[in-house]
Amino acid sequence: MIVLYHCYGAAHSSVLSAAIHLGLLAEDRIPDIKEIREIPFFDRKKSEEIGIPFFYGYDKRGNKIYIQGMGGSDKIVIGLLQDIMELYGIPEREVLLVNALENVNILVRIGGFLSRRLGLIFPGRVISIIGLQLAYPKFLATVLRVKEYIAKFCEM
Amino acid sequence: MFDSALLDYEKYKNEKRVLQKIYPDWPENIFLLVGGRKKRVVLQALEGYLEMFGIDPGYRLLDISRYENWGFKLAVFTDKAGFKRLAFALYKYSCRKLYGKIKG
Repeated sequence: MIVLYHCYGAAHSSVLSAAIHLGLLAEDRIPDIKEIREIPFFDRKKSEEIGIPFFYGYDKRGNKIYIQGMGGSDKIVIGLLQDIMELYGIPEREVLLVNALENVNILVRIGGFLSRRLGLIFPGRVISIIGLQLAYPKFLATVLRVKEYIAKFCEM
Repeated sequence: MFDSALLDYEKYKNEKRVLQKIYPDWPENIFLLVGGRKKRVVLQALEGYLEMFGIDPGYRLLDISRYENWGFKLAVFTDKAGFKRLAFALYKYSCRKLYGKIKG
């Protein structure tokens, strides 16, 4: 299965979700600033890369984990994915789309804007990380639900 | 010719797809890809998804949005406003102009 965590720019919320999924961040506590800052791809992706799905890693069950920024064009991009899958006979259950943007708060949005849009990287990163720490339980809950779903799917 | 093409366009538009195969009886595989306002995002997603699934169709992309003139834009506007016959006439006029331009 492919699990695709998506958000606006593949810089913060989808990256955090994917990192939790792969066990790069703790599930029993809120990670500190350094831990979040050091996850692969965190606050790295450029605006020009929005739209590209990036491979993040394999989880313990061998599922491929991807991140993708959809730049606010979620409807059309997801529609495209569905059309491609139908065209090539790829079953719907092969791809699980997870909207990581649902868990973000205002701090993550402000931090992301400062860092990615205005180039104010240091303050942007700090603010977005604080926002992610505050929203961490939500992100964790989402990832745990995804893992539960995958586990049930594998049993079938 | 333009009437027939426009009727086909209506048919495909109603399917509301982003990537759509058209004229299945033609020897070449021809698809329409809707770019929307963020064309680059959609194009990058297309390439990325094909790579994600390990598909290499060997396609050629033709950007026809650069041929959009004021006539097409006005036709879309009147179409959305519900003036279907006017929109159809504008589409036809715009297609004729474009055809003439391409043919030189």
